[in-house]
Amino acid sequence: MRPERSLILLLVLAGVGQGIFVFLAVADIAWGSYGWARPEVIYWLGVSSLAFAFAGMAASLFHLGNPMRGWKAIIRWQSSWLSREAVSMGLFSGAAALYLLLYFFSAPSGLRTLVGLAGIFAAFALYISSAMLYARISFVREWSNKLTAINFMAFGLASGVAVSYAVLCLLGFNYTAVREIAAVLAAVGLILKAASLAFNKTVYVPLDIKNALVMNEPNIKLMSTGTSYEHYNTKEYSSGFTDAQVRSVLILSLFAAFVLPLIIWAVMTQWPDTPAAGILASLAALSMIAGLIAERGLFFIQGNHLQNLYYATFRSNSASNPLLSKAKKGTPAPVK
Amino acid sequence: MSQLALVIDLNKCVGCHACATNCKAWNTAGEFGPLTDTEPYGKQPEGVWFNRVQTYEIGKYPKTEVINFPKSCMHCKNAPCVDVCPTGASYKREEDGIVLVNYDDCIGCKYCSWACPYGCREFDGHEGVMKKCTLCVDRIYNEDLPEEERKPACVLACPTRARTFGDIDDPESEASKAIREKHGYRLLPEAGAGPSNHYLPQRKVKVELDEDEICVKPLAILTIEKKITSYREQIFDDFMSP
Ligand code: SF4
Ligand code: SF4
Repeated sequence: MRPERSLILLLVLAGVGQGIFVFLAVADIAWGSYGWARPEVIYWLGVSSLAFAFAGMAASLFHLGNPMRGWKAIIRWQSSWLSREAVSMGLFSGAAALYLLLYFFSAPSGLRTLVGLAGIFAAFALYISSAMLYARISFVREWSNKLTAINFMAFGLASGVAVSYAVLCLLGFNYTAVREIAAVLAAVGLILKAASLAFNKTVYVPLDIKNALVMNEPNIKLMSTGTSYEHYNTKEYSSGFTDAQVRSVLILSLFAAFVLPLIIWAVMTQWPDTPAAGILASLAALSMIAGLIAERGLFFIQGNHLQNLYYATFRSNSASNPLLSKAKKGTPAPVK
Repeated sequence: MSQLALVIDLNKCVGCHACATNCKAWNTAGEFGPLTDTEPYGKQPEGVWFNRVQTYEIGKYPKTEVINFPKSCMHCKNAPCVDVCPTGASYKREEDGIVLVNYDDCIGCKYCSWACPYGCREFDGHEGVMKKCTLCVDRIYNEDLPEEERKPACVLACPTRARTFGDIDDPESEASKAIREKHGYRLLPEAGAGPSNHYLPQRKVKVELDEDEICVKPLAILTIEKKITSYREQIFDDFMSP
C-alpha cells in the first residue's frame, strides 16, 4: 500500500497522546496519595497529551477528500471500525480535557479518578479501533493478525511514557521509576516488532494472476492496465519503494524507535544527576517518535493488497517482508 | 429480492474499449456529475473510470493468445466496501442489489476502496469522493429513455455483444441462462465478497482445414509486383480515358 503521510502521523501522534494520558491517569491513581507531582507536572502532561492527540486528528483531516464533512464518520459506529475510531477519538479527547479541568477546579479526587478511568478506557478503545480498521481487511495478511492491535497499543504506550519522562525531566523531576517503565515498554515494543516481522515472514497467500483471472494457464502476462497512463488502482496500492530502500528504512526505524532511546536511558542511569537530563530524555523521546513514524510507514508499505493480482504486482509469498532476502517459494494453489 | 449484474463473455470480448468509453461518456454527463480527468490531452492522462479493460497475454511466444478483461464493480452480495464505510455513504440497494455511493455523504476516507478485493473503486481527487460503477442506475429505470435503451451504457456499446445485463437471482433471466449454459464463474471467490458479476470463459479456438483449403504455393514477389504495376496502369488508363 501507499504510505499515506496523514494517516501515519495520525496513528503515531495520537498514539503518543493516548500513551501520555494513560501514564498520567495511572500515575495519579497509583502515586497520587504520595503527592508524586506538583500541579505544573499534571498540567504539562495533560496539555502535551491533548496537543499530540489534536495534532494527530488535524493530520488525519488531510487524508479526507472532504474534511468539512469529517464529522459524518461517527454515523456507522455499529459496523465500521473507522467510525469507532472517530467516536473513541472524540471520547478520548473529551475525557482528557475534562480530566485536566477537574484537576484545576480541584474537583474531588474520586471524580477525577472516574474520569481518568474513562479516559484510559477510551484510549484503549482508540488503539484497538485504529488497529482493527486495518486488521479488518482480511486479505492483507500483514495487517489482519492479532499483532496489529497489540503493537498499536504497545508502541503507543511506549512512546507516551517516553514523552512523559521527557516532560518530567524538563520540569526537573528525573524519576528513575518512570525511566525504568519507559525502558521496559521500549524493550517490549522491540520484541513485539521482531515478532511481527517474523510473522510477516511466514505470510504466504497462495494466489497469483491465474487465480485472479480464474484461468489455468501457466504463463499470463499483463500487457495493459486499462485506459489512462496511471490511475488510482496502480498508485494507491503500491508504495513505489524498492526492497533495498525498505530494508534500510526498517533498520533505521528499529534503531531510532527502540535501540537509541534505550541507550540514552542507560546512559542516564549511569549518570543520575546529570544537568542535561531534560535534553537527553527529550532526545530519546523524539528519536522514538521519528522511529515509530518510519515504522508505521513500513506497516503501510508491507501491506500487500489483493487487487494487485490484476496488476501483476502482488507478491504471493513473503517477499513483501524486506528482511527476508531469500523469499520462501511455494506453489500457488490450483484454480478450482 | 433481485440482484442485477453483468455477465461478461471473455470469448467474445475483442478489447475495443467501447464499453469503457461509453461508460465514461454516459457517466461523466449523467446524473451523478462528472468523472474528472487530469491532463486528458497531455502525455500522462489520468482520470476516474468505472470500467477498465485490461489486456493479458497467455502462453509463450509464439504460441500466445490475448485475453481482454473488462473489470468494473461486481456489486457483491456481501459487499465488504459497504460494511466498512463509516458514514453510510456506501450502500447496497435492497431492491436490486446495486452498490452505490452517496456522493453527498462520502467524506473521501478511501477505506471502502481498501476493503474491495477487486480494485473496483476509484477516488476522484477533484471532488474528494469515492466513485464506482452504478450499473447505470440512472439509465435502467429511466422512463425518458426508449425501453430498449434502459440498459447499462457498456452493454449497449459492446459491438460483439459480450456483455449481458440481468437479474442473476432470477433463473429465467438472460444473464442466469448465460451463466448456466456457458459455465459462468466469479472472480476470486477466495476473498468471500460474493461478487455478482460473472465471466464466461474464453474458449480455445481450433481451426480445422482440409488439405485442399490451404494455399501452399507461395506467390513469387515478382508476380505480385507485376500485378500491382499492371493494376496501377489500369487505374491510370481508366482515369485518363475520356
Ligand atoms: S466489487 Fe468492490 S466495490 Fe464493488 S461491491 Fe464488491 S467490494 Fe464493493
Ligand atoms: S470513501 Fe466515502 S464511500 Fe468510501 S468508506 Fe469513506 S465515506 Fe464511505
